Amino acid sequence: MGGRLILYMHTVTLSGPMSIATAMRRPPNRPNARLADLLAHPALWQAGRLDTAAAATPSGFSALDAHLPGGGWPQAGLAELLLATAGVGELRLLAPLMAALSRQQPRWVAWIAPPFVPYAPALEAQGVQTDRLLLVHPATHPQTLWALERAGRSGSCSLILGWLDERRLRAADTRRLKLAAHQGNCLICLFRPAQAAARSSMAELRLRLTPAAADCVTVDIRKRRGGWPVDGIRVPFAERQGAVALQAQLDRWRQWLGQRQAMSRPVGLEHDREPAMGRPGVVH
Amino acid sequence: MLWLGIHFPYLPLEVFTRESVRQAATVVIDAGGRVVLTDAAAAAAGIAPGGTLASAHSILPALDHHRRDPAREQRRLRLLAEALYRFSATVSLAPPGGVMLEIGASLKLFGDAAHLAGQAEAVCRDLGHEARARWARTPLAALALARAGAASLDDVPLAAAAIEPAHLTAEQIERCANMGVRTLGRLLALPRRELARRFGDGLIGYLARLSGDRADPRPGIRPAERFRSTLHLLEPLASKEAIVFPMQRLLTDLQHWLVARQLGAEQIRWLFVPSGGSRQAVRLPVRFSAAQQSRDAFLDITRLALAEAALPADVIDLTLEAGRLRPWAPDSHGLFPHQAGGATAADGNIQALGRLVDQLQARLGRDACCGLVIRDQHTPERAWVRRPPLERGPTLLRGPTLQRGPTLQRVRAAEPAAAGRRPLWLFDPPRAVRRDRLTLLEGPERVHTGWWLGGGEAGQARDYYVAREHDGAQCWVFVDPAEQWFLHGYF
Repeated sequence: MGGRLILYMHTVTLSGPMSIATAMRRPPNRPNARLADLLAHPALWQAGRLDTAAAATPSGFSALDAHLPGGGWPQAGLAELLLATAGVGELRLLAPLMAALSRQQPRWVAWIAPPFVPYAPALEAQGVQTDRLLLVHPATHPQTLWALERAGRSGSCSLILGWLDERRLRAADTRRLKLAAHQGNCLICLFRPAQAAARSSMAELRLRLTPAAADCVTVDIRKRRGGWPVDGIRVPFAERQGAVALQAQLDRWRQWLGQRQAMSRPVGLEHDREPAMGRPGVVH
Repeated sequence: MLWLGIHFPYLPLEVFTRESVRQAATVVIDAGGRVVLTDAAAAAAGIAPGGTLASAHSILPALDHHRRDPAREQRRLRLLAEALYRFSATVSLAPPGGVMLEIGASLKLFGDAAHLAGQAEAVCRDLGHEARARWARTPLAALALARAGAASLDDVPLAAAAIEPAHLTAEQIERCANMGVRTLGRLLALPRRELARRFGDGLIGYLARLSGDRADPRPGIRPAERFRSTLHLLEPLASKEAIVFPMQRLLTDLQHWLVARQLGAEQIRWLFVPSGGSRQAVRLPVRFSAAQQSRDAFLDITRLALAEAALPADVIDLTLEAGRLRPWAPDSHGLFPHQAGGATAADGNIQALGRLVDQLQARLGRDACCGLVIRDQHTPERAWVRRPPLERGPTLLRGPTLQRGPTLQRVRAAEPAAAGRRPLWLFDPPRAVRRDRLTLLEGPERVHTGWWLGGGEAGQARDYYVAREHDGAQCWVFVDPAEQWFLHGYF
């Protein structure tokens, strides 16, 4: 490090019962307590700590989960995937999340202005429940923004995937989308080109995807809540294939078991009739 | 038998004021130019019924006046009667300005008569009408009480009891007054035989029906099968914001009509007629994925559709029609809110999911939203199909080639393992690509498009490869027999 001095300034907005100013004005009889009070404030983040409090859904890839706050995709908020090129594997990265959300929650997985057609049989093979998919094709950029915000705010989507016109997207729009996502308790995921990394955004999570070897993608975390950026996480998609096959096998077993139980269940009506018929003294 | 009589004292005035947007003092005049009814503002200024229109205008120059319109009153009364159908199966019209309900059979459901009367008045008030409801053993007594606003027949003046001209003529009322008989109670107390000698059988028959000595059957209304209501605006409306207010009034009518009939509407249609008359009226259909009943649900989607619609510059007539009526299944809430399970929770969620789809479709257009269904077909183009979201149906459509025969289950179960790797993104249609931009990784997999399908792709043999584009994207390409390379998807 030599003689270099790192000055780290972190701006916090304190709106709780105590602000920094009041903390400083306290009588100095217990100086450590004053500092502890300040550090315990929920809005203050310390650089050495990875925020694990937020609710998250595991991404299905252990290499990525280790670096994401909460160990997975945030349940609510705005995330951005910055793609070096379309088809870099962005859908395969999100497929486990889509599968989990579409199966656990009776809410939509909305695709707003997708550039291509999501291939339903392949998504189903990945475990996604395809009747939860809602494809929306707005005609203009303002309509796309409106649809994203309305879907986010509605509370009836668990995940929203959005493709926007990069030239017309402003940072203020991302702020609106983030608020909408928190209001509707859903994750809005925007797909933007890699050049957008230089532009400011209110997204809580920004991942840059670059192609690696076959069936593999390199993820750089450009921004995450409560943590520094991390570069060069290799995510192998093959890891996921085994899990999908196992899940499919389990589903097949469960279906088979259900059929067995349905076949072996006795018919109820005959059961009730028997004692009445056999009761003595009943004149028919 | 217990009857509820409802009287609308301001109906001739209210049929006009509910269609007006500006708030001005208003009076209703009869054919002779005499003031019949005044609103509160006109009454406060000192205009009384019976005066001439000229003297009323000299008191308030900015006065609005309308000639009384019995046909319009009749239409409105009919709509009010249909809204009151929710309280009783026998609703009968008593024009002008009266409705009678048989409530003896409804008391168990609605509590007591006073409670029911309060609810009926509230419904009428919500529809924009001042109403007075009273109950009695006979329909005529109930209506007489309602017209007089009295608690007992002793307080009903004879003028209020003259519901139809045949009951009590003005001449008879005057003769009674000369005898010192001014209320209905006093008249009923007189011996009938003497009354009959002086006044004739008409009055006796009326009194017998009033007191219940003679049967008084009343024909019930049959609610209309369709809802269609028109508002004639008094001045043309130009802005979309302003037109929301009359829309709210029509939707309130619709809501009460639907509640009374226990129906929900899956579609409503607006018709905007411009004031010129020569130009074309504008239609605005608004659709819902599930049947709706409440005004706010209708209005929410209507506003979105209105924002995108091109309206005439000046709308003078506004019509609302309800289409696709469905039996209404009310929301059933669980006894324990945390128990989110069972059919009711799923149904409630369908409603919430449908609301979002309705909103998106109202603003973006009918075709902007779709869902996906998987089909039992082996070619990528035919293995899926778009369908309207929330459409109930199988999530898997059987292909025409596999419809019969016992092999279907086996084929379906074996498919995931048998088929090769499939991409998550599909290009529809495939894009031509140059071979030198691709690095082949896996393949080939031969997919033969069916010769039996016809069309351009008939009988084409394709060799599919998993490949890598020059910029690093992993893609799914095929080469056709003519050595043309096509990009068909991204992984």
